[in-house]
Amino acid sequence: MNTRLPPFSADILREVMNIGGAHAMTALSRLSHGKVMITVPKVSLLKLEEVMDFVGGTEQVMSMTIHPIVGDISGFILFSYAEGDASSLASYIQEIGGMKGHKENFPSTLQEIGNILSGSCLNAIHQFLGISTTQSSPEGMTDMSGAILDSILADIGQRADDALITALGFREEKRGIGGNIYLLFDPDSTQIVLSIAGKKVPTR
Amino acid sequence: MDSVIIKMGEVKVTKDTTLVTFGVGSCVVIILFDREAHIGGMAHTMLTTDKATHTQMATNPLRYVELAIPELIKEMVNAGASKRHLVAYLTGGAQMFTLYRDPSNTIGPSNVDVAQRVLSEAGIPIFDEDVGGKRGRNVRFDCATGEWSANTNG
Repeated sequence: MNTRLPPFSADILREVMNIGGAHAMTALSRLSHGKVMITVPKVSLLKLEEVMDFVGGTEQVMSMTIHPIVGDISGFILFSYAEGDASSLASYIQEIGGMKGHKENFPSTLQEIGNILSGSCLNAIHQFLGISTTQSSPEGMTDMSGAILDSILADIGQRADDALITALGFREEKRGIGGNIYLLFDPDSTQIVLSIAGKKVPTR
Repeated sequence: MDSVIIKMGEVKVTKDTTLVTFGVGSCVVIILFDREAHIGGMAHTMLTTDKATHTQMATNPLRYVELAIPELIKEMVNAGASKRHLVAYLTGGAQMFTLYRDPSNTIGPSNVDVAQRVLSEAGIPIFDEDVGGKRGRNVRFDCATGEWSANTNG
């Protein structure tokens, strides 16, 4: 497999992530009644092992929700939060929904938030690319980031030797809750995304 | 004392120092130890075998249990360990979650099965193991004393 991204493809993927990420964060902003700031997306084609450093190491305990994408394209959307940020977000959204302090429901609250955000993200990507996918049921967990990610990388590793990862950071301003969205497409799906999106970008 | 850190897809051998690796989920970690020579080695592998590239060589063969264990044995012997003295410690192979709700998607347990088989074929006894479960582990092995730990976080 070619381990280098073809010309402009990083720009295209960054744009796909911009569109998807912006819609997801608009949804978060509506949910949280606050302003959400996003970073410029990062795109990297990496050896599976290098993904760990890309997401900031293996040891740190993170809360993640994992949303498998199935359909015309396949891959994963991940939402990743520092442990404290995940609790703050779940607690804050529960509070807005009028059910304060249900700590035992934090994981399912986070999964539901993830569902809403990844749904918005995918919907925007569908409209942009004219493709159809569905989200498989999400998984949520809090553990060392390496331990969560190695299972996902192992799944991708059964079909590919490297992984294309697109990342976008966000921060909800009122409560200072931050996190990251990661978009991981399977290699075949990456080709589909690049080919469709490429036609929409004027070539220089 | 300095520790030698092993990342996913790496194999390292050392004498008298401590080997560590962090955030092990469905990956399996194989430790070999020669108690007489105080030489220890660790492999942090991710998948059983190279299904993705088939005929092509994967960018990192040490990612695979089936390829990493022979390399680990070779490096142990090169470092002065005696193959007769080698014992193995096995950890990792957790089932962190069930992707796609597919119960046949069991990368962690498969990794453990293959590691046990490859070690048995190589004639290396498993001295101790802490495998499976649903939590990530941090793994530490002290080559001076042969003490080891595989701790979950929280």
